[in-house]
Amino acid sequence: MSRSPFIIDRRRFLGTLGLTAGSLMLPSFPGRRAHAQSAPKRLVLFITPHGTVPGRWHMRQPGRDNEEYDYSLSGLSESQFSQILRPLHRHRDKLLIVDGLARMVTYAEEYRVADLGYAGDVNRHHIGQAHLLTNTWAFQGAATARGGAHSIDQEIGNAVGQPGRWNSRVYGFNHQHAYNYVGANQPAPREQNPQAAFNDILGLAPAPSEAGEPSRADMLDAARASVLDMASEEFATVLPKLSAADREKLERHRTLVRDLEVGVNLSAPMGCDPSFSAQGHVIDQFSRLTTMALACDLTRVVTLVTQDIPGNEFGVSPGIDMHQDIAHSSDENSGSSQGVEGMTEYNRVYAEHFAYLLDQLDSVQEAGGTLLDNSAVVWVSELGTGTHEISRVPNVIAGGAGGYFRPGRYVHYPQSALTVGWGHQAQVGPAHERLNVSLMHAMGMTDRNYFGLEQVSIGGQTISLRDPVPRLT
Amino acid sequence: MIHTTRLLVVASAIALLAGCEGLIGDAEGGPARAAEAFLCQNPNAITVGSSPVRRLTNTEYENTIRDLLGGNVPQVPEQPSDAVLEGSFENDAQSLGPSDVRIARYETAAMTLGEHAVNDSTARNRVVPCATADADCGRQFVESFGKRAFRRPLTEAELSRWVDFFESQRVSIDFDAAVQLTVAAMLQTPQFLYRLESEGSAADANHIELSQHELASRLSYFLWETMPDDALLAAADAGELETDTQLEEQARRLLADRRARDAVRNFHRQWLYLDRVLDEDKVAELFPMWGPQARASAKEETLRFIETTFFEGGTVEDLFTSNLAYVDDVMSELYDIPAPSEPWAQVELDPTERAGLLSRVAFLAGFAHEANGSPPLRGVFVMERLLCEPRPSPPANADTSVPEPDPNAGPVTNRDLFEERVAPSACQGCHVRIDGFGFGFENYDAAGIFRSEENGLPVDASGFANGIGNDAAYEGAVELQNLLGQSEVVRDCVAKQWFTYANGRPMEPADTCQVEAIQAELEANGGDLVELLVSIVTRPEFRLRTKGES
Repeated sequence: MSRSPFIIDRRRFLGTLGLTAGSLMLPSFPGRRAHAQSAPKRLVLFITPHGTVPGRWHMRQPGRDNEEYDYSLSGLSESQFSQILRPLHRHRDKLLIVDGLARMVTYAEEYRVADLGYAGDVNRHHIGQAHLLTNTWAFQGAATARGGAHSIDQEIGNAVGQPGRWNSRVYGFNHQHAYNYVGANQPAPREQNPQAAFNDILGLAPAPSEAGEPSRADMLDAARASVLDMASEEFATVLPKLSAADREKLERHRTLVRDLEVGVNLSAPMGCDPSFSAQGHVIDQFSRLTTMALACDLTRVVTLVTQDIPGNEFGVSPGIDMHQDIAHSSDENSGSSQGVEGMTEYNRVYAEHFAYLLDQLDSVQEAGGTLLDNSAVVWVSELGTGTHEISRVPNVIAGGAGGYFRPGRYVHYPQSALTVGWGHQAQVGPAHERLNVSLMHAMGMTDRNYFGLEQVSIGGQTISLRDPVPRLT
Repeated sequence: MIHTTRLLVVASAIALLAGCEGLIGDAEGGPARAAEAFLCQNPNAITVGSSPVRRLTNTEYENTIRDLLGGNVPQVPEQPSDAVLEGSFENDAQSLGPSDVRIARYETAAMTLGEHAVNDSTARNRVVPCATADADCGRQFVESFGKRAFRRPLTEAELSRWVDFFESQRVSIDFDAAVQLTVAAMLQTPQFLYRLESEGSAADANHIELSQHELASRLSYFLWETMPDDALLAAADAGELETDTQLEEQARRLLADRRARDAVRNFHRQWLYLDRVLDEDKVAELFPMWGPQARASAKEETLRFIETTFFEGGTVEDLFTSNLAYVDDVMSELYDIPAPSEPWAQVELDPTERAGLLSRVAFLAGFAHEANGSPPLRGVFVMERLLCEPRPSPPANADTSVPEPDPNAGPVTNRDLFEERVAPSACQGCHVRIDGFGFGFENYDAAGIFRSEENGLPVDASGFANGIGNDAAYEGAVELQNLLGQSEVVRDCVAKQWFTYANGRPMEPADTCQVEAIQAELEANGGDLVELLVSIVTRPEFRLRTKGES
């Protein structure tokens, strides 16, 4: 009989893992390739904290700050790459370096909190994290701001997810608050332990078929679907007695139980050999896990929230407080040398981890090129700089999303004046929020022209958040 | 007692006067208008706020599994954290939603626990009431286990569905498999995973009185964080929770049990952010004794202090004034007292240096930086957790880095550095008040060790407690805590925190009269903490829910 995934096989598998640990066996699946005309599109969001050091990050052409332009990265030597982005040089033909977008919802939230006239949270870390993937007003709770609606990874995951597979995954850490939300003030489940994340993913990986008479253990495993079915049927009897809000919550629960039922029923062998090695940096462990999960099509959307790396990983002494001594002192005009250099190195180390992720994705061959070619892999940060600027935020898109993006280019947008909170003047380009619209289009949701808010008003100007970012395709 | 409304108005008025709303702009129509809603118009009217369906918290799930199955419960996958709302409790209904990871881990856990129910002999005796392994025994199992899993008798329709399910598995595999799979299925039902309140009868035009079994669950999950035990279920079966006297008897029975102590510890762990100290690093050269052991012991020491104070007739005031402590070797070193004869022996701390929970290491080291204490963190804690005031965040571009002394200048104290940092008028609006509490803890360093000198300079731990009702100047944390212990604002806040925890949601306007009544009762009882819990469960509102749209 054919068998579905379950605890027993998982245990058996994990039991043998110790013997095979040490190498990531990248999955190969000739069967799939043989009949698949095109591989699915995937999305990876790679999020780092504290923005960047703009002068050490950008690769602008001098004298063109007020122009929209792009240029090819192909001919650039490694030394022509900026200090922070240099580790990505080997992937230059698959990169879009996107320079000059501004976080408009975050500017607008500062006005909104003032207009509402209550003691809202305008800490830019908190609201920057709340807005990054939700494109909408933060949930202003009692003490602190969090995401005010479901985030883009959930939106896209729910649209492209496959029955019986995870719609989306969130791996890694919180910087202060969550980036990913299933609803207002409800963070999406996030797994911080790579081994536990692997166990979850494997829970949906069907074991290979075995011949012969089913054993009692096989029959118990096979009954998992009936157990889930019985449990999900019970929702029908309790739902009508609930209030609308409670019913919505329990209906979501029932849907998840049914999805899982589909998952345990899937028995088609995938020819995919999932494995995991708990070696190396935790960010790299998650990168390998992400690659495996995407390659085996166990999910199509992954958010990897990086660990806030400790000082000894970027060359500062352990006693130094990353946030206070480095990030807050990293302004290139008014900060300290320790702050600027430390923050530069901090970001360069993240670039190395990002490059490692790209290495992994690019090593999986599938229809239409590599897994990287079929994916949009997006490096974004909570903020623009360590001193909380939110214009000219750093973005790198790697991969082509199956032909949607036209990579291998540096793209720049012109800046213009805007009056932001407390009468400050800022130079801003197009809304960063539109990048999330670009991602929906990249993933095939081309009928969508905005996500979250459609527009915001800042300093008397109406700023559109509609339509994909220009020049990326 | 002061009224909740007045508390809010006073708080916002202070904020306005001090300019503490400054970073946000105009507060007109904000806090003041919100306060209007929290005005008890008619103290005699019974109104209740919402009663959202609550999923079992991770703690409640673990406890319920333990009590439902018994035996040596196997390890099941750890669930994603419930603690998503800073400043609220893990049992806040809003945060207790489902997620794909959670559902999948419930499934893995349920299959493991089903196996445990048949293979562990203790569990099997608890779960299977007969030995014949036939259809008849299966029916008895479904009826008895189902009642305990759902925390109420199964309806006829439920009994029939579940007996059918059991039988189909028994026929196709065997009896044990049918028990295992039925347990696994029941552990994934909404009846088990959620606290559903949909029975009961109309009490008046707006309210429904809970059924006896629903009431039993409210009681046990509030006081025990677990399912009703057999005695409480039997009382519900017999309709013996009808009168206030009966309910109070059950409440007192539950409060005398170990499980109530665990629940009280868990409440305080969340209310007082006692996990915070577990993540605190200290500069090793300055604090060689600081490490994982010290962190864990600091949390445990405060929890033991609270637990004993709470259950031995203690009052709100005692929490802030008692110098009793339970210490192990690490804690005795930090408190500079002789090592105890045995771990966690009761000792008395020097009452001039240490009294109350705010002069203990868990708080002091938890709200500190690596090298020194943090007056703003400590002051904000007092306002937010003990006075129940929402706190504004610092302005986006405020310098919140740790102030460092100028190496070329002469010695300064930690207080000097913080006073200099917040000297600008833009900071003063909030910090006059925050630091009026925070500077009171300057006698304790980053690890909570007592000091009367710092860098050769005398420590100045004087402050002014503002907005606590009995506002006064004080010297040091012992005096400050004396003030807090007698403060009606603090006492009212304690009642409000417990109300929030009992209801699994923030206070709503409809709760105002009830909360004021509980606060008045707490005052009348001299601040007695156990009596506070009794007064919450014996309120008429505890038996009611709002008539919903269903």
